[in-house]
Amino acid sequence: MALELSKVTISVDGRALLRGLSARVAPGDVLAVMGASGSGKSSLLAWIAGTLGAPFEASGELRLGGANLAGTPIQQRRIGLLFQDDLLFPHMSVRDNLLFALPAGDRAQRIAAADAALAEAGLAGFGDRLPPGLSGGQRSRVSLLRALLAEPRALLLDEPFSKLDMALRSQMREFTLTALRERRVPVVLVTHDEADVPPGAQVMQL
Amino acid sequence: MSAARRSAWLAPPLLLFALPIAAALPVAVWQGLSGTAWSALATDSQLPRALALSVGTALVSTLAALALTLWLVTHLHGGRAWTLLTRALGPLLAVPHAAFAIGLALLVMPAGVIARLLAVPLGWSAPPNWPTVNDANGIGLTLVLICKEAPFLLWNAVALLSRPELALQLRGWLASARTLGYGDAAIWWRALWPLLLPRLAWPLLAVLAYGLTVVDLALIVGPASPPTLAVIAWQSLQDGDAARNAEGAAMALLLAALLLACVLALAFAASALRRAWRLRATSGERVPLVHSGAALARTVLWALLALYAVVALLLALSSATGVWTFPALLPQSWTAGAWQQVRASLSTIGLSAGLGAFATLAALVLVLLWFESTPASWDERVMPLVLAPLVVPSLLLMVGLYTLALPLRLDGSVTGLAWVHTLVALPYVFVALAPAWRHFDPRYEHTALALGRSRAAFWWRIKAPMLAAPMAAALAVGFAVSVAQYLPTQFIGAGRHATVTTEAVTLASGGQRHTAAAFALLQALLPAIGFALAAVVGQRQHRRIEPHGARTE
Repeated sequence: MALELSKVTISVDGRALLRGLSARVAPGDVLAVMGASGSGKSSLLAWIAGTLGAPFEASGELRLGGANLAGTPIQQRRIGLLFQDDLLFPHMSVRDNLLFALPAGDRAQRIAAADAALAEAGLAGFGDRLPPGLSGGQRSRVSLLRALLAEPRALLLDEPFSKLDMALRSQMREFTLTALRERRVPVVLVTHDEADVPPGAQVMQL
Repeated sequence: MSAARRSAWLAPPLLLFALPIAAALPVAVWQGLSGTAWSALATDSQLPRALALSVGTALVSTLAALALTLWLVTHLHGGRAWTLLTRALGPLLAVPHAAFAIGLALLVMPAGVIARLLAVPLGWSAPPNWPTVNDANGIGLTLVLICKEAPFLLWNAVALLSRPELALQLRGWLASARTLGYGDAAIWWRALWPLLLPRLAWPLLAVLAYGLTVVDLALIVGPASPPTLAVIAWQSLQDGDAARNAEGAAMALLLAALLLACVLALAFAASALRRAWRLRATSGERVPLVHSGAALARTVLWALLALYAVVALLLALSSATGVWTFPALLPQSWTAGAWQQVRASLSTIGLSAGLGAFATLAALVLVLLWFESTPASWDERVMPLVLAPLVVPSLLLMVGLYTLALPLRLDGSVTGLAWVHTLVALPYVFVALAPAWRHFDPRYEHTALALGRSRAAFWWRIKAPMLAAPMAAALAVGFAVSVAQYLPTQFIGAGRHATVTTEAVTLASGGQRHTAAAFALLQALLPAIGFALAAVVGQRQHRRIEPHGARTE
């Protein structure tokens, strides 16, 4: 299921942030959007996710698997969005955070799926812990797992590594890219750090 | 400044506020522990019913006000009515409980406006038999408590949600949970409220304590035979008979025990619910996605605002009403009698305003002495003591304070009244002022001192003017709290000093609704003037500090 943008224009107060932007991201591919702060890269992500609101105005077409997403509410787009902050719910255990994202179904199976995902991410046994007790890198991994377990049809990453320290950053990049490659969903990554861009990614400079 | 001089500033707040509050409680408990009084209570046949009424009205009204608050915030947050909500709460809170109860009674009582509106189409010639005011089951009391406590809880919720650090996190949580496929209402109920509710525990406790032990509202709209436990306790405490007084003290203690029992029961219920809640929250089901109760919530908010407006209107109307036979929609004759009675007792207004002004200024001075001589981290430690007057049943506290006032000859004196009004106003002034004062950027002080100015000059020329708006707001809150006091005024004043509030309550419970309406209107008007003045100060400050043409809104 490919993600297609065509002739996207986003403006604020009549001033265009980006104009006539088009791209096609195939499943498993990464589109890296680069640019200085204020260049509109986060607005682009917000528009794709469906969270862009006033004072921004946007035009253009967004298709996922051929279907036009105009007017589809965020909740029904099934486009995952990862932020700089992990945004885990601090009062819910790590496992409950993951269960919150997993589609409804048999509870035992869902718990098994959550625990398997944790084990795969090197976090076996962390299910009952609360997020504030985890390290920054561990929380980032749980946050990525949470986004993936919701079975998104596309994934957007908004400078997901910028708040991690140097050592963690390369580790997280590795972890994230491996996880994404397995899922075979189109990925849009916004960053201002060249090192974040995976080999073989399309690069769009704003 | 040396540490010794700094700590010397602490003496007044500790001696005048902390010590009396801390001493009053054990004294009151001691008073309430008379064996003969308890055995008298055990055989009192109306007690079980009174007790059930107190607990029932308090629990139902607290839970209903909480449910209304959570539902309104869930559906209004981030929507276009949110600003309306945040702006409307101040005026709603400023209306004193007693005035609201007197006005609401005029609306819902059997001969009230609603019944009159229905009388013509339904062909009634006599008032219906509605159980709405002074009804045996406390329905009227519960109704007043819900309408008056929901704005208080809403105000606390709004204050919590608009804290910068939390507001930012909230936006993130909502955004990320939306991308996981959840609608906003589902996000609030499943993830956000379980997280935020514990932070509303103090206001909830204050609401429960208020509902359980309120005397003035129960006298105005509460049941009569038997009344609530708080009213029986109050009547016993006013009795000339020492044995009855001891029973009153015992009942005040019983109310405190009931409050504790209710809190424990609610905590138990909450922990039992938590598991079910958790299973539901993590079930993964994405319930109705786009459905939103926002439109209904806006209607309910408007209805609540309209209710307050109607109540104010009815107070004004009723205060000038002469003859008003039942099905007529408007009074047949008007009279200035109620207002002439008000004019005859101008000293009542003077005492209310004077006590309010003194109490709020004294509270402000004590609070500022505390803030200026302690680090911010101490606030948390003294919070239980500061909030004690809000969460400890007021009857129990007053029993203790009255006992302390006796040897000091403060009972029945205006000095005693001024002191007790300061005690009850202080917690509100403290809570209202703490955020602004504690978050004042210390670099201003460093800059001023580095420029060679004295600490006093910095305080008077820089800090006080910069914080004038929150100070004015805190003064208005303290003034409003003082004006609305019924129990402390009657208790410590030994019934010798009348304020607009004691007059309004006494007249209303005596069935003199028209004169009561006039006093209720005054009772609402006095704090409104205070808030209006505070708003003027705030606006002038805003205009002075904001550069012209650079408004960001």
